[in-house]
Amino acid sequence: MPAALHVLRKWAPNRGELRTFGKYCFLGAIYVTLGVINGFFVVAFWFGLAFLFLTAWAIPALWRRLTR
Amino acid sequence: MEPYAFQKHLGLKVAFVPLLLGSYAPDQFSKWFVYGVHLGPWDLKAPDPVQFHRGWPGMGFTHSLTFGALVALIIWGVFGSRLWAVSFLIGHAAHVITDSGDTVGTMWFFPWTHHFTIGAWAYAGQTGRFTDAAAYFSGLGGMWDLVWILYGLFSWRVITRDYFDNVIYQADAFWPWLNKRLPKDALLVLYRGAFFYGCSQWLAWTIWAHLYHHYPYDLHWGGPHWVHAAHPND
Repeated sequence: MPAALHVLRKWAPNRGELRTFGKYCFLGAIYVTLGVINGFFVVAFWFGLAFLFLTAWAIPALWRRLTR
Repeated sequence: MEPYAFQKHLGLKVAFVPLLLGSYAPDQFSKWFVYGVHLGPWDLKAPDPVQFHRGWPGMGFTHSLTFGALVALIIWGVFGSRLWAVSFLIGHAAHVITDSGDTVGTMWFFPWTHHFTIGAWAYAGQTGRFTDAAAYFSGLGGMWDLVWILYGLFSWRVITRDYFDNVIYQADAFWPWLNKRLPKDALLVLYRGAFFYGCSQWLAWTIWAHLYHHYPYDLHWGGPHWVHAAHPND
């Protein structure tokens, strides 16, 4: 049992990793909602990549630059 | 999601980008014409979508192992990268073999036009984009995708910054090249893109098909049987 716990502890994400996961889940929820409303949002990988690139990096980076 | 699994097991022996490109390549130039598009006054659609997508004459040769090997040889010859060639070949083969799971299957050894198929889920590309999606996410095809998603989530360390820095970035000169134009944070987001898309599209189509439109699940072999499943000789 302690060995299994050790494996589980090694596998489990830490707080920072969970925070990152939460951010992607939030963006995923927006993308899934858009996809359910209009299936064309989820038909092509390139749409998904563009959405993620904009929302997870480009827009936050631009915001940081504007508010610095 | 398969490229992340292969990457996890092969580490520095493969490059992620050609692995991903290989896995998407077979459908990139044909799927739009299978479903059809409206361009102004024109409706462009394959007269026989199944034949066009998976058969010969048609674009079915793109779903063959021989085509993947040919493109890999071209990549090797033109760009001189054995790593990119092998990675593309693995990604492409994963797509070809996975598509053998449906009722039409793929011509593995084109120009031999025999279709390798196990018929686990219905091929319904001829019914249009939305019915095809509803059928796929109601049968064993959608479940097969779910297996990869769960495996990907279980192997979540492949999408961490540490893994990206120590394996993905080191394995392929593409990333340092791109890093001259974009910061590493942006590269990490791009690397995670296919994982994000794979999970999100599965969830979106599942909600769309089952909660919004109430298509029934049918996990029987060759299902769902509420849609007409195409076969190679139709």
